[in-house]
Amino acid sequence: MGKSGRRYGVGCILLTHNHIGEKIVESGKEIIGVDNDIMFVSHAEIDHLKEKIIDFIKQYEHTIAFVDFIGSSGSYILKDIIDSIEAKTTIVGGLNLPMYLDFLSYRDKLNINDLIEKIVNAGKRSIIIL
Amino acid sequence: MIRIDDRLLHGQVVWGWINNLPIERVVLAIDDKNDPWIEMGKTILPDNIEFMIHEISNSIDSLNKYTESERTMILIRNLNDLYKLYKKGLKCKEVIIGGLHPQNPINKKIVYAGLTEKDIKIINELKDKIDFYFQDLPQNKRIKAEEIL
Repeated sequence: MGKSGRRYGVGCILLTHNHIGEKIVESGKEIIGVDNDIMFVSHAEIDHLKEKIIDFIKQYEHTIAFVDFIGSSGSYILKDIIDSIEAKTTIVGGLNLPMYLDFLSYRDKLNINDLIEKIVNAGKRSIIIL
Repeated sequence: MIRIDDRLLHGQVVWGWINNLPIERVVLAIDDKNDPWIEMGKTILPDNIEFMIHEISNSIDSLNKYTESERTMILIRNLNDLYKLYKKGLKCKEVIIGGLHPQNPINKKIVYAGLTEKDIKIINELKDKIDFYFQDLPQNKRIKAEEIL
């Protein structure tokens, strides 16, 4: 699990296979210098961390939950968790590092809809063949 | 602001600096406008950032327009290029060294910026005219060059 800080704004969960999320958070800290209001969870942990995920989500006006791909086993469980509580959460699939970096850069600058659009575009535009 | 970084446009520069400061323009001062790293670096630059290339052989006047602008980042690959620009008439008060990775640095006190003998010579020659700082990210402490030389 990562860290949490304030009790408003936009939170972020990275739910991934193995330690992908944790390593992306580490990379974000190295590149931008911040890692607050982030929770990372691996699929192996999710069954044990359901309550903590709910507590985390309830701290924020909105939470963006990144998964490495929609259709992963974790994404189904996360969807059930989100549907069981009254909290605004958006699941975004296809997590890559530029998406997470744009989340960190723009979470305090854009409204939630524009933020999600920004993140999705960052992911798409980072897929390039040289 | 002027930043020296031998990796040019990369993650820390774009997400760490440009996206977190009121920067509207990046001017890359470089020897060769066809350097293949330029096209790669531009792919991570946000669409709202104006991007310009200044070839070092060009007149310095076009670059001097931006040296004191807080909304412009001038990116230079290394201290040798800075020195060439200075000799052509570059006007600036300070330079931030954000990343240097030479093969055989003789000074490794700053982990992200190793210095060669030539780098140190350039800093020592220019330090009365230009303040040199080391800083990798905006929120991290600036270190004045004199502190580590």
